[in-house]
Amino acid sequence: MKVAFIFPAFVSEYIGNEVQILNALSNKFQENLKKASVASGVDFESFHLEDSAFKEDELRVQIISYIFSCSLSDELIAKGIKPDILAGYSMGLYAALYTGSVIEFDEGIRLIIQAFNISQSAIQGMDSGMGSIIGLTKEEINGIILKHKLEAEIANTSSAHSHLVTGRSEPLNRLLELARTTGALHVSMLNVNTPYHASMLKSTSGPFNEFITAHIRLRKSKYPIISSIDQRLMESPEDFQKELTENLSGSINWMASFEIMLQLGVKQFIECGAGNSLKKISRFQSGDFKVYPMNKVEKLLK
Amino acid sequence: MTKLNDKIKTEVREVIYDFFAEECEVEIDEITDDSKIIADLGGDSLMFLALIEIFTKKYDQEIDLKTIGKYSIKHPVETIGELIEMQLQIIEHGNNIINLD
Repeated sequence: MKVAFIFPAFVSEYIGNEVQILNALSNKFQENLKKASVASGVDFESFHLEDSAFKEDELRVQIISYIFSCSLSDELIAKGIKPDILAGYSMGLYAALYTGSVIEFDEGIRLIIQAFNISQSAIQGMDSGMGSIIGLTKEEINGIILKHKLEAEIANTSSAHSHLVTGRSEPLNRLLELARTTGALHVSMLNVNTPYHASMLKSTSGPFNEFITAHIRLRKSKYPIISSIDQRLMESPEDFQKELTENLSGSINWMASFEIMLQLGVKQFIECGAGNSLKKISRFQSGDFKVYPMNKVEKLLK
Repeated sequence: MTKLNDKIKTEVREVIYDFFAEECEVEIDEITDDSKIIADLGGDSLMFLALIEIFTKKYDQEIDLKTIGKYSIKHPVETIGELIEMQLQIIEHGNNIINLD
């Protein structure tokens, strides 16, 4: 039975017992908190789920999400559960690269920080963000964008009727309003200020590429990693450098990535990370498969 | 368009209760018609979409989701009881739900 490790982007909602689950398995999570503190210069050892500093600060949220993801994948592999394929949802790419031994743990932290800083520079002085539209198709959303000439775009297709949109705040808010009156079941702004997967971040590609070339040694992956952008299977350092630089500004299609994994015969998906956002999205995929979020992983370890 | 009867009403209630018990990992006895889907059960809007898909398949309906979206602007759903009521309206009226007051 083929197994995929799938990695969420940022945690927006915790199940609640993630820390206890990881601490019960080993001290890996605590070690990774220490390593992250050293690599980032931010105190992650004092992390707890209710601390607003780790819920509202975009960079800290990204780093803590990466720590949860890497810690769980380490635990699984150490206990003999190995993936046949890896897939990172949006910024979950960094944890996928770590799990494939493409990068070291602290290289992932440095990549996250650099990507964040370069993105912030690119949008300096602009109000921007991301939103969610549930109940409209890609064509219907693009129809609204075109008709009203909005500077917003689809960032991700999670399912046929579930999308993330990205761009400047004003057109993004207008898009959400129009989507609701058009008949979307639900629209909301996400708690992020960076318009990830937006073409307005295209200028990040060059500087981020240069940073990777100068500071990160990308290796061949132990496991194939599926691109969220074009769904190709990646294994070489060149593949990963391209994916990393395009991931910030390229739109992604998680639904297509999931479908490819099903076509490749994956039956078990382990959501390596806090929360269960990827399990929720997977409801709309048809097929004979199971998704295990962190609080269900014990079933696999027994 | 489907004529509602007691069997359908019972089925819809059971499916919705079972769905939220499983997805929200709560005991079914803890759910009531007054339970607030987001505040009490930790549910989300994707669950609403998933349920619509379950029922459109179950009752072989072809629904334009946008009609439900527009209807929900006038009739927002907060509780399990309201969701059951809306789902019954969808089953009974299909895309004509948009023409209801």
